[in-house]
This record gives sequence, structure tokens and C-alpha cells, in this order.
Amino acid sequence: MAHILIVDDDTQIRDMLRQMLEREGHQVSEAADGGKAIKCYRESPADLVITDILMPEKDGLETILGLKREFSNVKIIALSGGGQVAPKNYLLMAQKLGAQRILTKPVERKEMLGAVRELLGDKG
Amino acid sequence: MARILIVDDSPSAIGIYKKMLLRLGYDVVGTAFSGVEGVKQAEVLMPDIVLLDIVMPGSLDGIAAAEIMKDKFDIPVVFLTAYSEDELIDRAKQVEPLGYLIKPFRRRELKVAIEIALYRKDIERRLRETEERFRFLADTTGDALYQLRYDSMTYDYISQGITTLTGYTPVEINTLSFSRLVKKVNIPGEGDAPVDLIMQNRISGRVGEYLADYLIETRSGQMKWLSDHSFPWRDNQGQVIGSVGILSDITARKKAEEAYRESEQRLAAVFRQTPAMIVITTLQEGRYLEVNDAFERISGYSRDEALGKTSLELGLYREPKDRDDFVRRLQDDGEVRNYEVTSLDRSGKNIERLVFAVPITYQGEPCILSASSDITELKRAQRILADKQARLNAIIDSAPLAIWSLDRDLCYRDFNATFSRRFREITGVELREGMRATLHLDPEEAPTWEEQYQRALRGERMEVEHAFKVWGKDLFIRITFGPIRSESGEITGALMLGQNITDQKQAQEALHRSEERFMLALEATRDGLWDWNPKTGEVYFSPRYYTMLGYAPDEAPPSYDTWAALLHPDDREGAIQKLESCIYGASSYEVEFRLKTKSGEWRWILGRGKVVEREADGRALRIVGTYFDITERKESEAKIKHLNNILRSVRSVSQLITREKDRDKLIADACDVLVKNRGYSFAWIVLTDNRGSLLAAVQAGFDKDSLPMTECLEGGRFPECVLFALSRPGVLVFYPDEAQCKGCLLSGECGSRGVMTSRLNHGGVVYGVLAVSLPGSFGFDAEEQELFGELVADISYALCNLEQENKMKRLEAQIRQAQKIQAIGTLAGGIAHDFNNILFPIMGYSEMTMDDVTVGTRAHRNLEAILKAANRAKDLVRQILTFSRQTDHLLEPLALQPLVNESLKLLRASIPATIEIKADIEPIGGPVRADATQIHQVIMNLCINASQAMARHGGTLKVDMREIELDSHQEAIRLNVSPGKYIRLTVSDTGCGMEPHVMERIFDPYFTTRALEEGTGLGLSMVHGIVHSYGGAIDVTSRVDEGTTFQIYLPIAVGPAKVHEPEPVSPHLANRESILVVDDEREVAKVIKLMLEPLGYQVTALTNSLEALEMFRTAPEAFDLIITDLTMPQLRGDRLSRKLLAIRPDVPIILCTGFDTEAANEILMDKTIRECLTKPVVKDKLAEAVRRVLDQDKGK
Repeated sequence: MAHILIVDDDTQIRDMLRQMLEREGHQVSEAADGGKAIKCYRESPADLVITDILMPEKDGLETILGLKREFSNVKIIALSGGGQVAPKNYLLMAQKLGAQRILTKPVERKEMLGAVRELLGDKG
Repeated sequence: MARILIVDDSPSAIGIYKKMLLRLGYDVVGTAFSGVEGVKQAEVLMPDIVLLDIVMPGSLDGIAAAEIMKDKFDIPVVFLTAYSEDELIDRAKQVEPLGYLIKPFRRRELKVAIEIALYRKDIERRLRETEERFRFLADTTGDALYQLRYDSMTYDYISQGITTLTGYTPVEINTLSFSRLVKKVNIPGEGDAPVDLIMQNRISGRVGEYLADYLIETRSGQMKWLSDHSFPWRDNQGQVIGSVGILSDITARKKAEEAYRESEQRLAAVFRQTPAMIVITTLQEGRYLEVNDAFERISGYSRDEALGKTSLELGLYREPKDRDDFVRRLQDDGEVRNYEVTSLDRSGKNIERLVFAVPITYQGEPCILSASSDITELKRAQRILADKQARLNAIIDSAPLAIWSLDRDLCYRDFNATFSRRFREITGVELREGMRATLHLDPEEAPTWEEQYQRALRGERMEVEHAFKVWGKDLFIRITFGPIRSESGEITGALMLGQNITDQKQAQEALHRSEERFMLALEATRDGLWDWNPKTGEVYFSPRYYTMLGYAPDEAPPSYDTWAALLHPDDREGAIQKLESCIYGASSYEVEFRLKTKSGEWRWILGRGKVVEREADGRALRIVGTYFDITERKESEAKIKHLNNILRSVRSVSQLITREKDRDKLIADACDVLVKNRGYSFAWIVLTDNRGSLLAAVQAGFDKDSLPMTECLEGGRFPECVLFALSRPGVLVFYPDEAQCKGCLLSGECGSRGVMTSRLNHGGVVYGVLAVSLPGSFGFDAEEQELFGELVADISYALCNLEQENKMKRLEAQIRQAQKIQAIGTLAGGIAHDFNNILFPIMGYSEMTMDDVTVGTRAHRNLEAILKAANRAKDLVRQILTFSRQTDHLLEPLALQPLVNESLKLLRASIPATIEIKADIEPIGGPVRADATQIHQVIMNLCINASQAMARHGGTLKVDMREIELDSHQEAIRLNVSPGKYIRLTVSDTGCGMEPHVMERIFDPYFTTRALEEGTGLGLSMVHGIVHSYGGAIDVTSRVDEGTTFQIYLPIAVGPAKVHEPEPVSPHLANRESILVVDDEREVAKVIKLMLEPLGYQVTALTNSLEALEMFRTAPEAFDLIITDLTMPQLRGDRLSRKLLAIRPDVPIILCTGFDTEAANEILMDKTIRECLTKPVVKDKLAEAVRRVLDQDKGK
């Protein structure tokens, strides 16, 4: 199974995703913002990073940028519920910055796990 | 200095003389040695004096030479001689030398001799000159000068003048005795004197200077007057020895004096003896200086009594002030003529005088010469004559006859007061004697008058009547014309007598007219007469009775039944009752009723009847009456009533239009008003749009069930009269027999009266047509049309107003709608993120928990429900974001037809079978810049709404799509879009329709008419948002129970549809370059992205400049071009640019700015920014700039 880092400022979402992923047998780490996420990744690089876009401190796009800069092979799924701009806008940007998958919140379990499985390949 | 010639035969003597002379200061002009030579020299030199030696050799001695010099050249000589022989001196004396000098002489002697010689020479010259002058004068004057010696009584001298005076020479005169020559002597101032005495007196010496006139007889016997002016000639002792004097011819003077004297005497005689009274008085006081005999005679005062007295002192003026007046006139005018004054004579009797006077100077004093004649008698005679004349005139003037006469030149001569008054009345001119008779006459009548005058002047007598208008009244004058003859029988003029015969004439005319009137009345009376005996039933109808009803007289039998049969059924009862009321009781009656004419028309009759005979029991035996046709009066009454009705309608319509704000109700009510006020039997209004398509049609007065009207209009066919009216201004009238009405579907409805129409037009916009028909038989006259025109103007104005109001309301609604949606959009955007974040765990946990509970258990079902609800919430958020335009749809030119067809296929499956779908999709049509998903949403939303509206009863769902052109501004303005080509998608149903208040709110978010679970209430908001984001418009019409129609207008994109086709070749086509767009305004960023992406660029649009900077920092080479806004929070465009350039100095940057500020210019100066674009950014300019910058870069 794989090590997945969940980055989201919303605790409920982190908890829910952790449970969803752990149920699939993955090992899950959590970070509440981008800075912590990068720090966490440095300590223990994950197989997959699932990150929200809109977050306080360091937001998702920055997180993606930061991760990609340091770890070019990092696999990222970007999630967004939208905000000042439509979610798709951010997500497209995230994609541009290196996120392999972009999903719009709320994501159905099937879709979520499908994306995870796809990115992890053998590990999924 | 005297010039001296010396002649001497001795040269030495000459030398000595010369020296002496020079010493003495004389000029020696020459010397000669002989007499001959001396003469020659003298001739040449002309000296003043010649010194001449007497004894000289040669042919000429001194004396001879001196003679020659003196005679020939008048040169005096002084002889020089050594000899003093007496003989020689005597000889020398002969030549009158100026002096002698005996040789030898001394220098002083020479000087004395020469000086004396010079003096004598001068004296002699002057004497000679005087003598010559005197002689010349004496001989040339016509007078004779004389010197008479008394002792011999001869003239020592008498000048040649005597010959002129007397004809005798001076010599002859001495031979004549004084008395022989002089016939008469007159001493001026003394008178005649004896001829001899005069000479005795003179000789006696007692008289000195002496003047006398002589009448002489000349040699030729002519008598002449000479005056003798003589002075005594005395000898040395003072004894008178004679006289000198001058004789002059005074004949002419004497004759003049004589003539004057005679004239004086004659004048004096005239003055004295003239019968006129002539006086000379002083101007100042009127003192008599001279009076004549007539004065004495007339005034009674003698000359002696009068002279020296004044006229006032004599009491000559009866009124003393008359003299002042007289003198004033004289001074003012320089003379007085024909001045009449009354004087008193010595006895106090009145004398009337006619005075002429001129101012004169008499005896050196200003005086008046006045002549007056005594006209006392004349005046008296005149007065008597004038009295007589006045009496005669009074008689003539007071005669009622106008009397006047003309001279042969047709000028008025005499006339009496009656004539001049008439003349003034008729011509307005004051008549004057001498006026031409034809001058002030009516030009048309003047020739007649002239002819009559001329006939009178030819001697004819005649009597003529003339008519005049005086102050509007007729005046008839009978005029007798006749000639005026002189005593010799010659015609000198014409005399006319005019007699006023107006009264007589008018009486005649009145009689004549009254007869005529009666005749006319008889002939032309409009009254029909009848005479009925109720007892016997006998009836008489006058011919007019028949003719007024169109029958020939006696065409129907005169009877009660005939009459009753002609009565209008509605009037019969009343008419008969009135008539029969007279049989007993009423003595007369009056009633109005209608009678049928032969042609079947109804005539209104005013019937009057009167009982003229009754039986003893009171039953009427004879009733007579008249029938008067009052149809026209009735018709005009009806017309007035009708016009009043229309006026009332106009008023009601005006009230209506201020009150009614609903267009359809307004026109319906207006039609009702027109019919209800009984103005028109029907009225209808057709409203059209600007293309002439039907908008609405209402009518009043037609049968409710009358369908042709509706059918006709809804079938898109307007009656001809409407089409006609639409294309022309003003009120039009159509009669049933006109071309426009033939074959008209409504011909049956309009009736037989005709239709009056006018287009409803205000401010150049035609709203439709108003048509009305008349109930009465009267036509559409000018008054009628004018009122109708007013109605039309009022309604047009109201329609215009309503349209304006509605437009305003729509605009307001649109603005309100836009604001509402914007507000919600902002809110929705804000909560969407959080909401999704909330939904995410709900869904996630639900799904996971569902794994944990057994399928089929209640818990599992509940979890399913939670999940379902969460999904609905998810959709809701999406929809909110859609209508608030927050989704990021890419708009591309799309052909809508396939999309619509595809959507319809899907619909068919989900719509109940009770609903029929009719689709009419025009296969061709321009592409629309749109997002396929959104278009799908729009169609689905509209169609589902439509099917739900028909859910209960079923119906027809019509979907229609075609390309149209909104070329009219009006239509485009109504829809609030720009004119141009549009795809119009129409979705209509035959469902329940909407109330207006519902329709107002259908685009409001969350507004729904359905049960909660049936929809979100966001469907139409979404449609609205989508359509507006495409620059399109939505139009909704709905009627309760009839259905609703949505029309979506989407602007056609220029260029071909792109979806299924390769991208169009563009001059600015991209090479898939990557562009980063930064603008804090999301819409702007999006627009730029939308502009550039179709051109083939990869565009990343950001709204946060910091974000953009970070992104760029991450991958500086990832972007080929940066487009950034200038004004942004956090990091302004210019600073951002600087930071970007710091990272990658060659990165091309385009700056966009909302306004042309100095900042922008400064930035450009920097040269690091490649281009600067001004917002709003136009696509072409943007594309151009992008391409330019990118190509520039490549060039490097």
C-alpha cells in the first residue's frame, strides 16, 4: 500500500479522506497547510499528495509549486470547491503547475479512489 | 545839368567858353565853328541852349543859324558878340534870343545869361502849353467862351463853340447886334427880363457874376435856349470894361422843364378834379397834408378846414379803430386795396368808402396817399339786391325740389340747398360751383347722366327717374331736364328739377313685392294642406301634400286611410291619438311623425291641425291643417346629437388614457367608449408593430360571435382600409361601394354606412389604425372628421406614452434583475467553496458508512438518502455558480442546430405522451458563440418548464429556431440588445400560462411555482444568466390559460462555426504560445483568455498578481508572454512587471490599463514594457498586439 499525504485546512475533510484512504489500506499523513505539507513531505516523502487549493498561509498552488520544485516526481491530486473564481480555474492552474489530477469537491468516493488508484499504479 | 552847344568861329574862344562852362557845371555837348555846322550839331544833339556867335564866316551867320535852330528845332540861343551895333542887335532881336553876352564877358556874366536863358526857356514853354490847352478846350467844348469889350461891344475873343451854338462864326458874331440874336431873356429865379435891360445892367457894372438864359434864333432860324454865365472884366483901375463868360446850349433842359411844368399842372388838375376822394395824410397821425375837391364834396369839409387836422380830429372815422386796422394793413401789405370803411361826413351821415392806399414820402415825411370812392349808394343797392336774392334763394332752397343748373361745359352753375344736400348724401362730396357734373357720379351711371345733360343742352326736355343708394337706403328721384336759354334764345346751360319720389316708389314696390311674395308663397309653400270632415270622412289633400312625399297630386285617394297607411309604425299611435283628440275637446294640435314617401324613405313631418267647425254637441265637423317637412331639421338635430356623443367620447377617451396603463385594456376600453357613447355603431383598433405585423386587435359594437374580424386579422390579413390607413396620414373615409371594400371579409360587418379610419400615429411612429362606422344617415363631414382626428391623436398619444412607460419599466426590471443576480452571484461564489467543503465529508462519510451497514437495512437506506441529498446540494452549488457566471465555460462559435436537435431527442423521452412536440428548426443559421453544455441546459430548462405547464391537460410544445435580423432599432431597444443578426429560439406551450405578477419574477433565483422537490427555482435564472452572458436576450409572453412563449435571441458570431471545423485562418494566429494573463477583475481576465484561446494561444488567467509572480518564478520559461493589468491590489502591474523582468529580463509584457494615465505613459517610457493597451480591450487590437510582441521577440 502507499503513503498518502493529505493537505487541507478543513479537519473534517482530512479526517474523512484519511478514513476513506485507510479503508483502502493506505498509510495517511496530514498537513493543515502548504508549509506543513512540504515540511512533512521532506521528513517522509509520500507516494501521493492530495491537496486542497484554497488554504490559509500557503495555499494549494504554492504547495504544488513548492513540492514540484523540490521533488519533481511528486504525484499530486488537487481538489477544490471553488471560491472567488470557479474551482475549475484553480484546478486548471494546478494542473498547469504539475498536479496530475484535478477534482472538484465534493468528490464521490468512487471517483476519488479511482484517481488515487490510477496515480499509484502498482502501489494502488 | 543844362546841355550846351557852343558855336563860334574862334577855336580859342570855344576853348575858353568851354572851360568856363565846365567850371560852372554845365555840360558842353558839342562845339561848332560855323553856322552851318552849328545847325547840323543842334539837330543831332538837341541841346538845351546854344551859345552862338553872331558874326561868323560862311553861308550862315549867327543870326541866320539861330533862326533855323529856333524855327526848326525850337532850340533857344544866347548870342555872343563882340559887337554891339544897334543894327545888329535889332536884327538879333527878331529871332527872340534868350540873351546877349557882349564879349568879352566874365564867367559870372555867362552864368547869369545862361540861367536867365534857361528860366525864360522854361517859362515860355509852360506859357505855350497853357495857351494851347486853353485854346483846345475852348474850341472843342460845345460851349462858347467869350471876352466882350463894352466900349466897342465887340468880342475880343469868342471860341469856335459859338458856331455850333448859333451857326455864326466868331467873326460874324461881332457884326450882329445882341438884340438881333437874342429874342427873349430869362433870369433864373426871377423870370423874364427885357432884352436891352440886361446889357444895360451889365455895362453899368452893377452886377457881378451874372446868369441869364437867352432864347436865340440861330442863323438857320432855329430857336435855341442858351445860358450865359458871365463875370465882369475890369481894367487895372478896377473899371469894368467888359465881361468874360460862357454860353451853353440849354434848349433840352428848358424843354424838359417846360414839359414837367405842364405835367405838374395836369396832375394837379387831375388830383383836384378826379371824382375819387384823394388825400395825403401823415402816416403817423393821419394829419391831412393834401386833399382834393372830391374830399370836400364827399366829406363836407373844405380844404382849409381839413389841412393840418387829423382824420380823427375831424371825426371822419365812424369807428376810430378802423384807422388803426387800416394803417396796420398798409404796413403789413405795403398797400391797401378795396378796403371798405364807413366814415361820417361833416353832418354826421354815414359814408361808405372803398379805399386804395399806398405809402409815400411827401415833403420828406412818411405819408399815406389814399384814394377812396363813395360807395354808399352802391352798397345800399347791393344790400337790396342781396336781400332779394336771399329771399329768392330761401324760397328755392326750401323747396323740396332739387334744383340745379349746368353750364355748357357740364359744370355745376347754380343749385339749391336741397340739391347740394342730396349731392352730399349721394357722393359724400361737398358740392361747389364749377365742379364737373360727371365727376363724382357712379362711373357706371355717369355716361347716362352725361347723355341726359347733353340732350338738355341740345334743347330737349325730358323726365327721367334715377335711383340712388343713400346710407343703404334706396332713394328715387324723378328729374326733369331742360335747357336754359338766354334772352336771345341761345342755350347757355341746362336746368334740372329733381323730385324725391322714394316714398311713392317704395309704396309701389312694397305693393308689388307683397303681391309677388304671396304668389311665391302660393307656388312654393312647403306645407302640405289638408281639410278633413271627421263626420263624413271627406278629405282634401293639397298638391303639395302629395309632392312632398314624392307622389303626383291625387296619385292616391285623399282619405284618412291613405294617411294612416303612410305613417311610420313607431309614430302611428301618437299621431292618430293627437288628431283624434281634436274631434272632442282640443281645438288644435301639433305632432311630429314620419311618413313614407313613394320611394320608401321616411320623411319627418310636423303636422298642425285646427278645428274650424264643430257641431252643437262639440264634435268637430271640420279640421284643417298643414304638414311641414322637417326631415332636414331632424337630421341636423341628430347630427348635433351625434357630434355631442363623439365629443363625449373624446372626453371619455382623454380620461381613459390618463387612467389606463395597460395597452390592451386601453384600446379595448377606448372602443367601448366610442360605441357606448352612441357616437359610432362600431369601433375597432388594430395595433401593429413597426413592420406592420399584428400586435393586437380589439373591437366594440360588432356581434360578439362575429368571427370574420378575428379570423381576418389573425390570419395576418388586414382589411384594405387598414392597409390604406397605415400608409397614409389623416382621416380616410371608405364607402361600401368603393374598391377597398369590395371583397373585404368584413364587408358584412361594416354595414352599409361606410367606415372612417385613421392611423394611430405619434411622433413619427405608427401604432396602428382606428376605424369606426356611423349609425346615422349622415356622412362623414369635416366636423365629424376633425373630432375623429382628435380622438385618434389622443389615443396615439396614449399609446406612445404607454410604450415609453413600458420601455422604462422593462429597463428598470432588467436592471433590477441584473442587480439581483449579481448580488446572489457574489454571495454564491463566496459560499460555494465552503459549501463544497461541507458537502465533501458528508458524502464521503455517507459512502463509507454505507459499506459498514448491511444493504437493505434502514440505516443503509438512510445513508442513501443522505447521499442523494448531498448530491442535490452539489448540483445546486454548480447551478448557482452557473447563473452567476462563475463557471468557466469556453465560448466558441457553435452551430446550434445539432445541439437543439440532440436536446429534443432527449426531451422526447422524458416528456409525457400527452404533450406533442412540434419542432421547426431552420437547418441553416449562423453560429453562436456559446458553450454547448450551457445551450443544452437552456433548451432543457425551457422545454421542461413548458411541459410542466401542460402537465395537467397536455398540449403542444413548439420549438422553433431560425435566423432573424433585428434591423429595427425599436425592436433591438426593446430587447436591450444591439441591432444585428440573431438566432431566435422560440419555445412555446399551450399550457396554463402565467399571471403578470408571476411573469415578473420568473427570472428571480429560487423563484419557483412548483413543489419544492420538483425543482431548484434556479432554472430560468440560469437560462437568463447564460443568455445574457452571450450578449443575447429573452422575451416572454404569456396569457393565462393560453400558454407561454419564450424567445431567446442569441447574437450570431462572425465567422464560421468552430466546433467541428478547423480553426479559422487568422492573421494573428498563434503558434500555441503560452500566455499568462493577470487582472484582478475576473471578467476581464476571462475575456482576454476567451479572446486569445480561439486564436490558438494557451492562456493562463490569474486574478492575483502575487500568485502570478509566484507561478512565473516557478517556471519562468513556461510563459511566452505576460499580459497584466496596471491597477491591482497587493502588487500593481508595473511593479509586477519589474519583478518578472528581474527574474527573466527578456520576458515580453503587455500592460493593460483602464485609463490613459500618466503612469501608463511613464511605464512605456521605461521601454521594458512592450505594449500598452487601453481597456476595454478590443479583440482585434489585442490579437494584433500579442502577435506583434511575440514576433518581435522571435526576431531577436
